[in-house]
Amino acid sequence: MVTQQQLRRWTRDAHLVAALVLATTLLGYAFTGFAEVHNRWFPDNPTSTREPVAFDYHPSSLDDPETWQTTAARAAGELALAGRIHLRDALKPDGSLHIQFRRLAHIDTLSLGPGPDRAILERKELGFAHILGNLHQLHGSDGGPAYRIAALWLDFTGVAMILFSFSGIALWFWLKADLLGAVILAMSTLFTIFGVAAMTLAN
Amino acid sequence: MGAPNGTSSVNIRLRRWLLDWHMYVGLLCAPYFVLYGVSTIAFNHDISGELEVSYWERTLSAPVTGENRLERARATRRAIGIGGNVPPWRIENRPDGTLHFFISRPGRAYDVVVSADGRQVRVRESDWGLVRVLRGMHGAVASDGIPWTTVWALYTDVSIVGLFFAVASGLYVWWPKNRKRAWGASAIAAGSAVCVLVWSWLW
Repeated sequence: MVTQQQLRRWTRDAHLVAALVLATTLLGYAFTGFAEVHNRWFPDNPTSTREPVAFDYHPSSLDDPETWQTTAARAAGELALAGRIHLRDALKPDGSLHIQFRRLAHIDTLSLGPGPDRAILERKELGFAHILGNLHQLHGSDGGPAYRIAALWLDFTGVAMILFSFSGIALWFWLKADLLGAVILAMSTLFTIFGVAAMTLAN
Repeated sequence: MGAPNGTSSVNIRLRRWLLDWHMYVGLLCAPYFVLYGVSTIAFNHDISGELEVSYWERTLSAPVTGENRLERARATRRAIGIGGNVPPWRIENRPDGTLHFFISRPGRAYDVVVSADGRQVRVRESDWGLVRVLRGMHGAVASDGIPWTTVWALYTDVSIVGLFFAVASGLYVWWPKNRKRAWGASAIAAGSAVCVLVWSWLW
């Protein structure tokens, strides 16, 4: 049988351990989240370079979506490109194929065609505000081991945010349970429920 | 003999005060942190709601006017009584004289076409439901025509600052407990290392 004292200790320890382990990550997300919402307040001056590269491809296969992924994988190996492969809207109206390799701080775009022997690599170095936004928006596990670890870490962070809230409320209830705290909690909870309900139900 | 480090009466009072405000700020931000945690997991696993699409039309008593297409789009939004923001980059004057634009807000999007005479409005309404509302409110800016969203945007900012304060005050209050300093510092170091390594790896 778990005593209330044990439950309090476990709750406090869980709150503390999660906070210590994730302190840097939480501060990072708080800062990048602030930069995301107020991105105009942060400098953003991207630069880009373009250069032809040696890369063999079959011009007739550019419009075949089934070959895009293998072409991208081959380009990654031959041209030492890394990052999350982005193929949405890859085929342009002029018939050229644009394969993007997206990373936090830069985007490499390999454009092939139209026609033969037209392989061009463009590297865009992103500006500070854009990098902060990318850091905040990084999610999903596709793209390789680093992305899978980042996604797992993000899951921990998401679960920890929920844990902090409920364990914090429980600790306040056990330690203090005063009127001011009750009013603050009631107002913030009601406002959040109202906001979510209004957005979900209103036309 | 002086008081041991961190146990002078001033420090004890400061720590008590910080612990109180750590709890109050936590109570204020807790509902947002829960929403933030849930929506983070939804982003990370690409969880979306069930999309429901509906179509409707409205005839306006007076044609919408405006100095430019953005002003016309905003005037149309007001005339049909829909709350949300009109992204300026998604407004199009079509060759047949119709005006095409979008209205978006957390969980819902409206694809609007205004007839050439400015009186007939056709709308495709996409309702994504609760999960997309939570995702949209994760870092929401104020939506035009929905006054309370200004308070929500402020609440978002307050919660971000509150997270900084909660982490800093929590560490300050916890730190003098000498017995646990060593493993606490190790937990912070390990968590920071994972965060910095993953972000550097993806840079």
